[in-house]
Amino acid sequence: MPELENVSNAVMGGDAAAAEQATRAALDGGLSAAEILKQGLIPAMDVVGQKMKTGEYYLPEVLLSSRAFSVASAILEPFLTEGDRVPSPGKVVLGAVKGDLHDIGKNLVAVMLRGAGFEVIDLGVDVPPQRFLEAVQEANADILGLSALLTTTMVGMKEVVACLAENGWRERVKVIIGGAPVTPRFAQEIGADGYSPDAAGAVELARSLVAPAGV
Amino acid sequence: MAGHTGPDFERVRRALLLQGEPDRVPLAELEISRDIKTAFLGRPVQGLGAEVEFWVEAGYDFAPLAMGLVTVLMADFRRRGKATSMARDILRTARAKYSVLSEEEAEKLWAEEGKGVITTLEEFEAFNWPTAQDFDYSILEALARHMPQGMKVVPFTVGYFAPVYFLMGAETLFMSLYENPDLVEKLFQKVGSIELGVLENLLEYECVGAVWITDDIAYSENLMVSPKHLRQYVFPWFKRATDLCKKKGRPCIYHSDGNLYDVIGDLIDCGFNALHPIEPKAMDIAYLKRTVGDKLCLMGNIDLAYTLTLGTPEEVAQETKQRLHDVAPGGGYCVSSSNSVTEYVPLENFNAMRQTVLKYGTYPISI
Repeated sequence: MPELENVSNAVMGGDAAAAEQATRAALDGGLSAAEILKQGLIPAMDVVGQKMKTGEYYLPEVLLSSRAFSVASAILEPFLTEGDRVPSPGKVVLGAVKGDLHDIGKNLVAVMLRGAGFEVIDLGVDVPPQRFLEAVQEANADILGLSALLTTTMVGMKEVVACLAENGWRERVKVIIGGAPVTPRFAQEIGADGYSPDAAGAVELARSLVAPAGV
Repeated sequence: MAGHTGPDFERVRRALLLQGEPDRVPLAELEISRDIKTAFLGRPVQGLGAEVEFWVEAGYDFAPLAMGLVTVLMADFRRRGKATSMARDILRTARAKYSVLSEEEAEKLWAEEGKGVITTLEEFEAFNWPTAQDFDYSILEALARHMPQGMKVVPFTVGYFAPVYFLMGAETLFMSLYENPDLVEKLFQKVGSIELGVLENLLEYECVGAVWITDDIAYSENLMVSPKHLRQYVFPWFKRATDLCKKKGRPCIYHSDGNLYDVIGDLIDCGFNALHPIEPKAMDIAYLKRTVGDKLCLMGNIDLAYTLTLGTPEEVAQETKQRLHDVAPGGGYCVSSSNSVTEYVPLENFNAMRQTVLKYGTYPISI
């Protein structure tokens, strides 16, 4: 359908103005908001994630696509009825750990997760363990994502996991981690449920963690 | 100590210029934290004399020194005159316990990644830009006066890309590449001409043995921006910088974190002599040795993310020996951390790295 293709192309091309125009045109043309979201926007962000993973898209292109996605989703929001809302695959609390102010990577993970339909609560940077716990409890989150740029702040992830455990929440939320010094080995050492080297991988990881067993 | 025969910059120069095997694999670091220097010397490192003493005692043949815009951006206030007044507005600060050598919380400076201090033409015009003449170059000679014969200063400058994202905020720069290219072009021109002017000035000093351009363009998985944008805005400045160095007979080292595979050929064409720090998570140094080891001296690769920071001294020694074995034969390798020696590197691990080089790094390598 050309209307949906226009929406997808505008998001993949990172053109917010074109995404806005194409989304309005698709609504005017009689497509439902749910169709535009499910068949236009979300598949487009999947492609963006793939292009990031294969190295075709760099950070500017991903940021522009993310913004085009946000603009188009905001237009659709008032038209989505409870019934045709895309069921969110899960709630994710995200943040950079205490002492760490680096947030480009975390922000990209947030937009890519939103692009895949996840509900994201972004706590920002320099977040102490207790604040992570509170946010996870408040949202009854499925996933907690932790980010760090430096080895010295990365070690703080261990404290967050311990804080969850001390309060009886470790088994109730999946913990995923990322950032420059983070490795699968470190994830294993601190008992995290997963690690991703990039934002696109974080979406796949989150999907796999919230998928019902056996799927 | 075996292999520690006093500073001799010639061994670094030979390695950087790929002139075969020097007497020993050189040690090289861009930065070592004050905490480590203090713990190593057993007293606070105050003044240029103590600074030089540290580098000599630790087995290095040169002392690095920040020059140019990096001193503004990273709030290095030392005797910088007019240029000092700007730093606090550019960076953000956080307090946490970063050091492994002290229980105290300390302040760390972080780049602005969202919206920086220059996002419009008006802000660009109003910015209190320093000129190359505003920086104080006398510190080069002041430092050199403390140095024994054979030792040199290696100034490092922040380069041509990083200052632009520090000033604009990384995300703003990335979007502006498409949406405000005129402002982006102006910033690259401004920053480039300041840094090139600084380079021209510092190359006049006899004590300068080589120049280190530190300019992060990548993260662990990929380049931050496309090769197309780098070729348009950044690499022409790199070429001008290395041309200046060549004219003055000084090797030029390039530093960027992350995965640089897609532009290794460009970096060679830019005229760099050496590549630093080759993060193990991002690039395979043995592969680089095989493929571009005849064109670039390789520096670094001792893992800061794990081995130096969280590993044992035995693991550090083992990794260092492995690098000496794999990369040092034939020359063209300097041992260094895969970034810098930060305050969260235990002193024993730093010592394990350098002592391994001093003990096993003498040519011919026989490990």
